Amino acid sequence: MIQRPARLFSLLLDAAFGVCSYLASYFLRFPGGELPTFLPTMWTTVPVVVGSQLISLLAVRAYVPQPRSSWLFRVVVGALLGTAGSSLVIGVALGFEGVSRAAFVADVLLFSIAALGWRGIWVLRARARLDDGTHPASLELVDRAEEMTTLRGVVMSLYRYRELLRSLVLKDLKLKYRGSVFGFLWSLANPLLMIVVYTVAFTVILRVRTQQFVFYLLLGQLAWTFFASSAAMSTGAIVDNAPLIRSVFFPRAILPIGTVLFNLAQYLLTISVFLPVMLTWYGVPLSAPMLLFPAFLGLQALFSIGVALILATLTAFFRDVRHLLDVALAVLFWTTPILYELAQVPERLRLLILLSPMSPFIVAYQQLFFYRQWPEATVWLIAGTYAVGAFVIGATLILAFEDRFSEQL
Amino acid sequence: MTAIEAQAVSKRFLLRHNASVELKVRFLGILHSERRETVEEFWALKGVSLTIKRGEAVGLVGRNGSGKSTFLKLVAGTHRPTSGHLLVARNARIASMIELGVGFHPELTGRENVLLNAAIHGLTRAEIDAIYPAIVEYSGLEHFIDVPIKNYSSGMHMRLGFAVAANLDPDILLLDEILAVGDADFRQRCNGTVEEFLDKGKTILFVSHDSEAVRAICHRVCVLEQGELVFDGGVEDGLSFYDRLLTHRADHGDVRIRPALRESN
Repeated sequence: MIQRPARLFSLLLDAAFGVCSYLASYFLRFPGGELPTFLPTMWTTVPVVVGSQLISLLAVRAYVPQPRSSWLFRVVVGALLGTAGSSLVIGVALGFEGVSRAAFVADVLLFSIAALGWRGIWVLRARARLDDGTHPASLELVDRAEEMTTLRGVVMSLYRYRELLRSLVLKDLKLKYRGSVFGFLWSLANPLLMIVVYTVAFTVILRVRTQQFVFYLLLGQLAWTFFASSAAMSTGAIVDNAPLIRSVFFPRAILPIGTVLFNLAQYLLTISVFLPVMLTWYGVPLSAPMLLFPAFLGLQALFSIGVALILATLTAFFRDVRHLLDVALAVLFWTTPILYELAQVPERLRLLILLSPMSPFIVAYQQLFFYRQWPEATVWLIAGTYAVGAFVIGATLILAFEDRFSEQL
Repeated sequence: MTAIEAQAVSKRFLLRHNASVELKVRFLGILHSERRETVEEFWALKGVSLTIKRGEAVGLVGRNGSGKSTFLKLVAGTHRPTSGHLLVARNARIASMIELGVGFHPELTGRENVLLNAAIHGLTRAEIDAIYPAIVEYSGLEHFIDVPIKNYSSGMHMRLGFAVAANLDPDILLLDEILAVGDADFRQRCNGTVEEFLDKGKTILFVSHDSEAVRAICHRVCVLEQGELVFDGGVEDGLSFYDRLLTHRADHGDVRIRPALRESN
């Protein structure tokens, strides 16, 4: 049985996260200059909010050492009830004077994510310790074929095989640059060349754009490259590893996920060099929305993983997928606002363009860094739906067919 | 204490004639009957029930195509049973010496391949660091460990593969005639390792045609014939049963020998 964290420890941690997420929700709600005027009320109401959250978590028995039903479900309900209760109390007492109602919605989300997040990490770590402790094998007999078909089993095994994921990414990085004199510098050469080409094309030849627009182009282009090369590489993730799949048992999803993480690593290396350089070169001031970059990058990575799982599975059965993908990527490149702005698109087509698979992510990056705005709700919604949707579809697909890989290849 | 339990395990393979993974050919098949994919069923295993205790060394004997290797693949987990259940102890680490050094990448060095291969078998970083020196020593390739594998001879390749598999500290070891290949020195080393595993009480599943090797390793013999388990018992009885099976076949052609099972029990 998994050891639950001590009650006092959980209470303190939840309180800390409660304060942080309430603070963060104010930052989200009042970007820019308004924040100082609202911060005082935030500090006067925070004891009510966090206190109410903790009390309701206690009430739904989220701190009981061995609860009967789902622990995580209780935490979400507790967070929801607590925040709702506190907003009611504050509404009655203060009449929402100087208090933001929207901040409560953000607070529920942030607090739930934080409370679930640390508990999830706790469970994974405890489980890993349990696993390590029971090797050599425990007495219990299991049907591995059946265990591997549940989503929970897969997440657990992905965690158990995290070293493999790391090794695969490192292997690809090493192989890519081994034997080349300039090594990693090559992955900077490509974007560098693009800057030159775009600068010449848009500011010298077409003369439609200012120098700064090159920054806009590069934001989209780099994120697109991350997606497109993940997708292209993932088609071979299963097929090209046929001997391995035929002879060793491991969660197959590791392979496509590994290719996406490899491309993510590449993207991060590139962007960590280019972003600071571009921001300074084009004199872009730093602003708060840029802090959301990791959130959208995470969503794009999840989306890419979903797509990679789908493509890797399909390629095992239809080799045509590779060729179809080439065409699809060429089309998608132009239906995504990379070389043009979303605002230039005729009004009636704008939503359609925004619905193109990579659009919400790229539009978000452009809003964060180029326009320095908070992304609109539609962008959030589409990006979130695509990411979660693609991942769920991809995971389901590979789970349904992975037992046939070893015979099909 | 059971290590492996097969409950009425059957495995069907589909033999695809004119099989293609191209969409075009599949569509053409609708029009041209001679190009159409035809699927033939082949039952590699039929309702095999078998319980193997921890620490047992079981020899799987049978003619080519009798389903021995398929059974190993099901235990290894790379294939799933079509029906029935194959249970193994939770967290059991299964090392397969069916194909050595599979997954080695030619461009990577010996060291990198060892680390990657150990990770493929589900070891954590700490576990890999702990066994790494033993693997290198066992392989006797200290001098070449930082050389890309593509420059290895096939013997060195195999030695490294065996060194990884032998040091994974497996609970269940799957052997498929590996002892028959390699030079005398390598064979001796393999035999030494297998004996060590036996002393440690590991479970061994050994597929072989070689009676001597089976005698040397196994405590128990299972004979498979056309996907069915036709004998399960002592080593000498099993081997002589298998001999009779072979001569019987030679004399009478393909006849069912199902009654022999009752006789042996």
